[in-house]
Amino acid sequence: MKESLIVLKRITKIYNEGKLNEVVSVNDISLDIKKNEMVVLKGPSGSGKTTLIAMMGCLLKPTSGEITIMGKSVSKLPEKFMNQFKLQYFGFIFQSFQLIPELSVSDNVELPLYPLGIKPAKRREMSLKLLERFDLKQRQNFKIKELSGGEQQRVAIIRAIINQPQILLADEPTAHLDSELSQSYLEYMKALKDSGLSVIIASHDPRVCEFSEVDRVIEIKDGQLKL
Amino acid sequence: MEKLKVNWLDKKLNVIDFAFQSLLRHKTKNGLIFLIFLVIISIISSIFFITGSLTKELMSTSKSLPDITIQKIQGGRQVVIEDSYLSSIEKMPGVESVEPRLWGYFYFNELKANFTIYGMDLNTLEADEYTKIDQQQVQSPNPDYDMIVGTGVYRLLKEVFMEQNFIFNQSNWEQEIACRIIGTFKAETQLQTNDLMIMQVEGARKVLEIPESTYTDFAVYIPNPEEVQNIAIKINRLYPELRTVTKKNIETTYRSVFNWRSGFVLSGLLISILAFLVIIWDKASGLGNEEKKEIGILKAIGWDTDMVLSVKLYEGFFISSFACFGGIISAYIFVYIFKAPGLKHIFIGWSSVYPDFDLIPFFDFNYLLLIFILTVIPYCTAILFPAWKVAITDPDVAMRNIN
Repeated sequence: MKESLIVLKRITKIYNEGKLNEVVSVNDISLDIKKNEMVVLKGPSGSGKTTLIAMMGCLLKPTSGEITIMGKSVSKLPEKFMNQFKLQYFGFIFQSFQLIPELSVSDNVELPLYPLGIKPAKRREMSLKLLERFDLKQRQNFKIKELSGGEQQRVAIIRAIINQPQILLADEPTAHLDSELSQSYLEYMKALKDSGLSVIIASHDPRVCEFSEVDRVIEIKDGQLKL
Repeated sequence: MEKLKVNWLDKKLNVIDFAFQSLLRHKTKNGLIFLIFLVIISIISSIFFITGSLTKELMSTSKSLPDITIQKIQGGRQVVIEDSYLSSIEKMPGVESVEPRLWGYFYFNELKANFTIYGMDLNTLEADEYTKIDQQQVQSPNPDYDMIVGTGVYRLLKEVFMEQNFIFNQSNWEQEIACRIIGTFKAETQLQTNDLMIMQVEGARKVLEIPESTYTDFAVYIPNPEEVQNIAIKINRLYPELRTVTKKNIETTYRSVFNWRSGFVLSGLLISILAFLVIIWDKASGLGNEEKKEIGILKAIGWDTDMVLSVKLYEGFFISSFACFGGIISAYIFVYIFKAPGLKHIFIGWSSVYPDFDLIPFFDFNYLLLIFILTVIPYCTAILFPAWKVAITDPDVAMRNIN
């Protein structure tokens, strides 16, 4: 049996708690994500999948419940430790990639290495290695706005894995991509899974849910698991 | 998989590195802020330097001032004072000595310059008090008319080829008076000696048209500073026609004149200061969407709040401190190398000290600290506040907002 990587126990997230505009985004969810699994969190907009993936990735604290990552409880960790944890174990790919347009390709992909205290020369060495692997070495000094959609996608993936994470979290990664780019994106995910990473994707895109390498599709509706 | 270890110092250096890159990315905007900052600090520092130099110079000369200066007033004007007052003042208890002085001004039309003439026995001057000029080839018409001049006077007289012999002339004189220049004063107290011509007593009396047995004023020396005010009051009671001016009065006047002038110039800077406040207000009132997005991304990929704030703090600190030091250095160059064109005369006036003089460098650490505190700290605070507001937002919220 595969080792548990992320365990969620009765997780609830309430925004604006106690106020008139209170919203229960995630309601009493329990989940167990295994090592080297590719999981898709599926659900319509507003179902709570982004909130759930943000809590899994230590971007957000739950209102109640417990999150255990690699056997460590993280739900109540202070921000500093949470960030350390995040940088050591997670890589993130955001909707629309969220790259900084004024920075060069290299500078963008090196951003997660700054808080890890990695020296400039080592940062450059690590980024060049990955840029070469993703066929972007020639573009290292280009600004983001000078890249095609496919190239931006690869930059976002490199930024997510440069800190050598064990878990890759992706929020609606194919939302703005055409079929060809979506397919290539999924191929990259497969390659990363094959290299040992666990991949968790929040998406309502059928192409992602039906991808052959996906181990599990977990459906969420109104903040709860749809069984 | 290899575990990445965090080195605290390298992390700090990375923050500084990122702040530098960030400054360079917004070259135009930051360059403009830097320039406005630099100009304002440069002007303010120039005013401080000039005021400081002048005050320091005058205060240093005040040590040699008499404890009391006595002048005779008639019809509200100062007139010559007769030597008949001398003996009674000298006999007053507490008075060490009374020195009758002979001085006045001479306006030299050709140069549009006012020179201060002072009469004394030149033989009593120490050799190190002035630089001798070799004038062996010039025959003095009368040794009573020898004189020593300030460096500013000497410079001016060279322009009209009178650096060896200066000829005084007035339309009502029967004949002109030719004086031989035998030396120049050293530049330690330029403001005091710059427009000065020290002549033998006879020569000065002739040029200033002061009759025998009369003087311009008396200098009174009193060894006990506690007694100065009392003696001044006594003299006033005894001779109501005499005015007494104490050393303390003169020092207070110097200070208030320069402080008033620097206040006047600083208020003229109000528009520039307002421009600076507008920049600060712009910074404090919020970040642009691009900056918010950047902070959101950094937070989402694992940057701490204090790292994000440190980047903003370093950015503000680099701009403001470089502008501050740049402004101070450029003010120093402007005042002491270029001689503060356009600004110096606001402080010293145009008419009384026409011959140009060099300000003696003055560097007061307290002034510089004040400028630093009043500019760098408000600017950094103004930058930090809006960045802090965005940085404390949950990265998830920031992430959603940037979508």
